[in-house]
Amino acid sequence: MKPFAPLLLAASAIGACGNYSNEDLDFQLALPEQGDLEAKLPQALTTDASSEYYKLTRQVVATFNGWATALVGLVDRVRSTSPTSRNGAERVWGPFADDKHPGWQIQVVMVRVPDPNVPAPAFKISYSVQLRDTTQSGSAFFEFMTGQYASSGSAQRGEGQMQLLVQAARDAGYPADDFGELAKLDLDYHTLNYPITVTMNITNVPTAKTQKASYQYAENADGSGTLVFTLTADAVPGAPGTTADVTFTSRWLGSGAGRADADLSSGNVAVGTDCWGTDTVADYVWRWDGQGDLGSADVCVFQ
Amino acid sequence: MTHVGRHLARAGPQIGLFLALLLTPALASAERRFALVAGNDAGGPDTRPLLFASQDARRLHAVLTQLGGVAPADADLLVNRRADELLRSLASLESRIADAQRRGERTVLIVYYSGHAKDGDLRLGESRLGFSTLKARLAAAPADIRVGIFDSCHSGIVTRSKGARRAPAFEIEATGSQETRGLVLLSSASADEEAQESDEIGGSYFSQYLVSGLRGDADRSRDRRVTLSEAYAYAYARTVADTAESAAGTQHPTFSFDLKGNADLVLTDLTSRREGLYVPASAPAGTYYLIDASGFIAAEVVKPADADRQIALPPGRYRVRRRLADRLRIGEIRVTEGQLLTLDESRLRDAPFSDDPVKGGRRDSDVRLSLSLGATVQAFFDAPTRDGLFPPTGLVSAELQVHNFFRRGWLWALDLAGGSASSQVTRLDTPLPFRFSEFTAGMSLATEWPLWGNRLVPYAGLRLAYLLLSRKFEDRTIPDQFFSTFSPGLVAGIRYRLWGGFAALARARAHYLLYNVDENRSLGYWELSAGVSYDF
Repeated sequence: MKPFAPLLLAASAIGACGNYSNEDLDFQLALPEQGDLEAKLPQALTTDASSEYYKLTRQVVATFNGWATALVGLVDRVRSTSPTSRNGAERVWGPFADDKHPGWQIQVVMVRVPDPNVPAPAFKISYSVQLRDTTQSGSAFFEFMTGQYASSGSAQRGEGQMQLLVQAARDAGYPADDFGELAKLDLDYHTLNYPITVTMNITNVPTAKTQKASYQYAENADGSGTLVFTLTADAVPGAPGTTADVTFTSRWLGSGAGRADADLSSGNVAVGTDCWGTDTVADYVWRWDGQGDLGSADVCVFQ
Repeated sequence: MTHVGRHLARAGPQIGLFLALLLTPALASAERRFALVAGNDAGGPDTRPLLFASQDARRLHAVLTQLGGVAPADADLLVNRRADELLRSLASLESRIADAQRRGERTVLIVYYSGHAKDGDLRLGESRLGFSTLKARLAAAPADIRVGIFDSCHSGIVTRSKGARRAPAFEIEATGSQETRGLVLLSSASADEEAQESDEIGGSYFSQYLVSGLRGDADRSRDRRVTLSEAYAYAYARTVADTAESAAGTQHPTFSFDLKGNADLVLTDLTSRREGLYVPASAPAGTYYLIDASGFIAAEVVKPADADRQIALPPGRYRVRRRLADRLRIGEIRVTEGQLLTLDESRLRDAPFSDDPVKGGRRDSDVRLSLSLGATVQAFFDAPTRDGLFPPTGLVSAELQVHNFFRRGWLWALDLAGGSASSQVTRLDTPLPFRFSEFTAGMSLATEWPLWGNRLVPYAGLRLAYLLLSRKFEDRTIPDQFFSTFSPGLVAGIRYRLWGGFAALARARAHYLLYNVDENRSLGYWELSAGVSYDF
């Protein structure tokens, strides 16, 4: 048999192909799903009688979830299709034609990174969404989004970072019209255990009215949560350099009752407070100018 | 009156031929002929399978239906059948013969058997039929003339009891005007001799020469009709000559007959079919072998100097071989329907002995087909692969087996199987249930070792399989996965014949599989199968 061994091996290798892979599953399971990074408010209904700050909280949550969805959506193709190529610890999906932008290609590269601090079955991966202008000869792929993820050994549970480099793409000629004034988005998340936290920092182009915005979301096992939204804008419109921070801090219980506070200059100047019950109707309202004040702060679920 | 068995034992063949020429052959137009032709390669316990018994039967059946005046509907060919099937066929023919006689037709019954015989019995596979029983049936058969031809070891026992002769030829004395009636028995060997086969000629000596003679080479009277005595004399002479130097010793055909009448029996009428080969007197003397497309000798022509010869051949391509002391003369001819082809010596060419077109050792008739259906269990050897990658699977399998195709004793098999199983893989602490499916197509080449007269046949060999493995996850957000590859392996099995053509089958396989999606990993899997096969 010995002389035939190479022949048999060759016969085995011929036609050996497919996407049957357990390690592919690791990559696919490691990526956060859209729901994993979304902020969750217990009450889904908003009525005319709902607290003003509760309504504002919902708007901020919707914006936050919109960015999270957009970011995760960029790598969602990885979950639904098998890698196009495998090279050791690297998996590549694509390149695919960018349907919305003819002449551009997109690919996703994921690499399993050795890390002695992350014992098996946990692991660490880095990934990137890359773009290439096919109309330019010799153009190389550049990073449009990068990410890292340290798995805990459970699906979608771990710590990760994502970075959306919109301005870099614009500079490379990519028509990033869908992203408005956004220049860069950084997202950190921790989904290993409660409280689950997601931090999002948005940097806009210099000409934008709002230069920066950040979201800090925390979710507890009992359904309670916190969302702190801060934006940095010109304090005096048309006078660059005179920026001011506006912070909106919203907290809620699993029952739906909650409280929101608005401050200027990172809490140095209080602007207003709303507390609401499980029906989202305000039980307590305070405004810096006294307009619309209601009830006593003692009824608030958060003091 | 009938003269029974005036023997010419060990006398020169010329005497027999001379006497045969005195006879008046007749293939009466009102005569209806029936034939029962049986061949069985297997002889049950304590016997080794014969190489060419079934082939012999097919050849004789062909010559009787082409040249022997036997209509195809009146010729039963039984290949590898049991004794009870032979007796049922004989009974059916007897009934039809009786019907023909009631209509006033003159009838001839020819019964031919090629196969094992031992201890006074014909061995048809596992079944037995006593020589005496069959002889009694022949003696009592309603046909006017009954001819029994037995090509088997110790077959001379059938002619021994009365008037048997181990002689080169016999005569039928013209004693009156009545038509010939009675019983003739021919055997290929004496009662104490083995009947021998030859790889080179692709048949048993006796049957091969009998067929060759019936195709015309035995026609010593040159009347283009081959009589029973001519065919016997020819087969006797060639069999004795060719086996004289064999390790098993010289084989002597025998005859016995109890006939009334004045005419020899014409077995083949060469005028009934024109197509064949004519070897003119001008061609060199010698033995010309006509080799068919399978590489076996279809017929021989022993051509004397300054005499022509003619032999009937079915349409087809043949190669002609004449052996000289230092080389071969070979060429190719094509016999077409209705054409008598004249051999042109100038179209033969010299060739070394290594170019001998006679293959030997292989015979088409020995190729058998069987189809098996069964259930298979398959599992990979190592637990991690079994538990999380390719789970153990049940398969429904079908296999087409071709026996003796490449070589006698070799099994060539083509198989298909399909099956599925439910399983799950756990990744990142997450169980992922999936449905695993598998399709395989394989080709095996194995050697068979028949035991107990082919009743039990172990085999072992190599197999190359193509596998298509796939899985669908219950979580439909995860894409379907598949893997296909070729996989070499070993196969061993055992087949146990049950009844008729049916056999029980058990089989084990061990395969190597190179998995190369995540990384190159050498895996192995085993299969166990059980099923039923049918031998066509």
